[in-house]
Amino acid sequence: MNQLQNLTNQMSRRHFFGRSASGLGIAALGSLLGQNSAEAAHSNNLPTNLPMKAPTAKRVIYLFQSGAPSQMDMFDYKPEMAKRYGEELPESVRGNQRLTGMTAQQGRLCVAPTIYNFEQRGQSGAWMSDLLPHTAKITDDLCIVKSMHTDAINHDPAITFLMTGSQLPGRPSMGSWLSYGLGSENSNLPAFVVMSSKGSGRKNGQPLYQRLWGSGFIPSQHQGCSFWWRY
Amino acid sequence: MPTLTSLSQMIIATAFFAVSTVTLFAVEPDAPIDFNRDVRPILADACLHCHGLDEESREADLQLDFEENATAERDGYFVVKPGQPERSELVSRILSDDEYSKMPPPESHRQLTKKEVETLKQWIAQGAPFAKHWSFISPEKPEVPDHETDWCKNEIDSFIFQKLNSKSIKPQKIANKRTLIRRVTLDLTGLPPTPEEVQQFLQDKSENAYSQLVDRLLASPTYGEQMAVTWMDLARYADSGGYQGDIPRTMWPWRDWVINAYNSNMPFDQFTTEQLAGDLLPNATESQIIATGFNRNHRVNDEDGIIAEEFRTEYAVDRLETTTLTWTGLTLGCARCHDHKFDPLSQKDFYSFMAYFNSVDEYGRGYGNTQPLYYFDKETRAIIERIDQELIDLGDAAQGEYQKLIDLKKERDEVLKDSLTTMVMKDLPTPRKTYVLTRGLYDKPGDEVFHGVPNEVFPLPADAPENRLGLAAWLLDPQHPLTARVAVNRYWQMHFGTGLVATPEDFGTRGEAPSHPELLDWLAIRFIESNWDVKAMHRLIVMSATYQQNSDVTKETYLKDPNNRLLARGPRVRMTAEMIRDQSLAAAQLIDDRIGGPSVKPYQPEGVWSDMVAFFPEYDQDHGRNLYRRSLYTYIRRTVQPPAMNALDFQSRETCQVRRATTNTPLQALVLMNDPTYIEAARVLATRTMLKRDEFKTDQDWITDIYERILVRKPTHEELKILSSQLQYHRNQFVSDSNNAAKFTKIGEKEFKAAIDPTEVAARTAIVSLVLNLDETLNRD
Repeated sequence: MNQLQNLTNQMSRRHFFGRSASGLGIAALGSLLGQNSAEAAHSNNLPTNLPMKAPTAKRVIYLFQSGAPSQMDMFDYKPEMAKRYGEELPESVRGNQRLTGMTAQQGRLCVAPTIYNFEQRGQSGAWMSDLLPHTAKITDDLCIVKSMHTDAINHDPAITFLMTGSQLPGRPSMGSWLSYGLGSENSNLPAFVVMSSKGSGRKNGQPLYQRLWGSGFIPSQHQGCSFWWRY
Repeated sequence: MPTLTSLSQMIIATAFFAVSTVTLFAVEPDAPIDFNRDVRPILADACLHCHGLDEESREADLQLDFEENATAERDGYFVVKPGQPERSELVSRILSDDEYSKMPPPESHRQLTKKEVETLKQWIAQGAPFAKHWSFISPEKPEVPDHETDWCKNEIDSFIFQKLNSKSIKPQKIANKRTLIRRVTLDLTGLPPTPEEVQQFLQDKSENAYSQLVDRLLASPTYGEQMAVTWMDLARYADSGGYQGDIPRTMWPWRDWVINAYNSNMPFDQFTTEQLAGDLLPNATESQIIATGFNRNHRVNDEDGIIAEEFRTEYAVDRLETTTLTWTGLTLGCARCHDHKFDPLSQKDFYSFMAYFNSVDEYGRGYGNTQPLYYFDKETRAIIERIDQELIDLGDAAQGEYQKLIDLKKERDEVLKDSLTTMVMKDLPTPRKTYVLTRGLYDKPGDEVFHGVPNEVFPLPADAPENRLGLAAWLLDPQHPLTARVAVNRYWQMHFGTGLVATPEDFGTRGEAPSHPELLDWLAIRFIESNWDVKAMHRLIVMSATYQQNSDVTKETYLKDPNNRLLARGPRVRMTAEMIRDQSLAAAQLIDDRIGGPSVKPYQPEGVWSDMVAFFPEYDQDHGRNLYRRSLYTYIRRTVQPPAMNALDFQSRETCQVRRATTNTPLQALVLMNDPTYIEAARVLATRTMLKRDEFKTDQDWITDIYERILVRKPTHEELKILSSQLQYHRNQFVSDSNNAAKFTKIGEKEFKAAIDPTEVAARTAIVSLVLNLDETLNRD
């Protein structure tokens, strides 16, 4: 990637995050005023703090792996844990973290490393475990973000937080914000659609709630439309 | 189906309104500045975030909405010097070009307009009068304006007419009788009028025909059902607990209490006291205890891994938020983590208020109907209490004893299958201590607090007991500035689509000021003086000429007032999900008129529950009469609401909701054209009318009858032409494809014994379905 491209990307990113409040609003204006946002963007009256580069993304596909294996078993390589296998969780890690009702009664809180083998993959050398042999082949095409964390320790509040930014119900979901901010080129179809997997049939298999694609406090035209399994 | 053009027109109309309100509600240039109307909104929007009540975020120790602080001398200068804008630092700061002294700071998204700067200058020049926010001042009964016009039918009209007159706008005439009977019947009962009722009303030429109609509707048991729907939204009523397992519960005895209360016209003060504190009344009756279910309708977390105390705290918070929003329109919930940014509600106020709800004899983790319970069968009490205690004891030690947990829950389900309970309020013998929670966190207690209310809004009556009865007494004090205003505003909203205060979710400083402040106060005081007579208030509103106007509008008036805030025309409102379904069932004479009882499970696409919920995943669809119960009895599973209702702006009932959005989406048309409920209703109506075929000589006669039944009017010549040719088209289609006709006429479980040609039924079903989908059908004019 050349330097200019780099700079442009940085600018867009900074503009997006630094000005996201007004940025989204302006994008929303696009969907409110005209048949399509491109038309609106060419209008002379729009403020100047739009991203430097017109967004090229046409659609967003978001896969949410409800109940997936732990990152520690897949791509978050933690060799130090193997060295400290069985030791008491150090205070520097344990800190003031809350314990779930499940773990609070345990006699000990000890370090339990992954049981899977990790290797560096592709040219980037990203670590990935043997659990993901196929994914490992496309490592160089992936972007892995390891800095995500949450305060929520129970399923419902945690997933609600991931999908709406708040542990409590009532906020618009990610898809609703995209629909609100970017609009839709199609006025005769739902804002966005949701496909939920069938689940394994186990209890607690996939805790899913309609609010995860609901529109919260913004109008319900921005809610997702779910597709259901037909047998 | 709405096109994008019509949608964007709607939105542009809204945008236009934002501009036009300036001319509708603003002051004339030389009129005196009113702090609440002119200054407070500017301060709240642009300044109070840093110079308001919240000490944590307050800069320069300046509180601009508080007279003593704002006008105090500070090292030889004044922020606000009444009468002297040139000596007021506020004025020099808002006029400054210097990036370090300019206010609001240049990096702030909110900058002042020229007009706002001018308003602030004028305000200080006129002596900088401060005032309490309008809704925190007790209402005083205003004089009813006197007019020489025969348009006015009651006091409401005098207030409405006065404002219209001042804008030189003329109101509309009374709507025709067909429009009126459809409008008022739908509003008061949620159902359309029957053809017989329409005929009777049309034939009644007496002066008081409409008044008698209103009395008949208010006396109908369907009135209580219609009123209950709005109250169920406020009370976040549902048939399951929400959260992870979303376990079924039986709160319908509380829902039936609400319907009965409305139907027996229980005064609003009693309605309030019994729901907030019925259990604390001396010799509380079964009914008064069931009423307290209002504050047990919140979600309850069943997940084994939770920290119980964390969620017990959430329930107390939920009760506080629901109670304050429902009765006072205050956003006290915002003060959970910090002092309110805009309203005089401190964090201490929040927790003092929470103390009223913090002593419930409950546990944070709960399965299905949770303690405290009201037992309809006294003998199951001991069994359930034993199981619940074992569940609590086991819960924290869940690991390894999972099977025992499952067995206990199974045993509990078995007992409760045949033994009805409902959740109610009951306090511990010794109240729990309540603390200010730092950042709202259950495990970060700060100072201890005691029962209290936001004093700045209204102080507690001296003799109020230190429990929920005291809270009810506070709300119901005739001098309380909010309770009656909020209640009558809600009734107004039920009939006009928008309240006199358009933001029922916020009566505080960030909410919208009332369009007709004198009328709001007059209604509030009238309501209190009538001993909180709810039916009388609805009667007063629907008897007004304002309500009875036809909804026609001239282009000129529309441009002046697109959102009809001045009410120069009758209200046209999109019906709710419940009303739209009930209307179809009623028109087809399918509707089941039984009142109350367990919630029912009408048609729903396969797999909606089983894909989403792990516990009780089978949706056991009902059959027979239960398929046609009114929609307020439809089973509401919180995490998977009925999709057909969801498409029509029904929300999740997870938290208190004071108004529903109205949107137009393509999904709605898809639901109304394809959902078995609507196809079945169309088929049943088509079949029933065909069975009386001797009454109809021609297709046109039949189409006219369908129109009368659904739209309460005759079709126009043009409509008859279109629908007749459409009927012929469908006949040809179905004759050439009889398999399709057979399939189409088998949708829905209602069967007819009479042998009728399925192709003819199919063709006519298509026509009825079309009429059920008309914009006019989905709106009540």
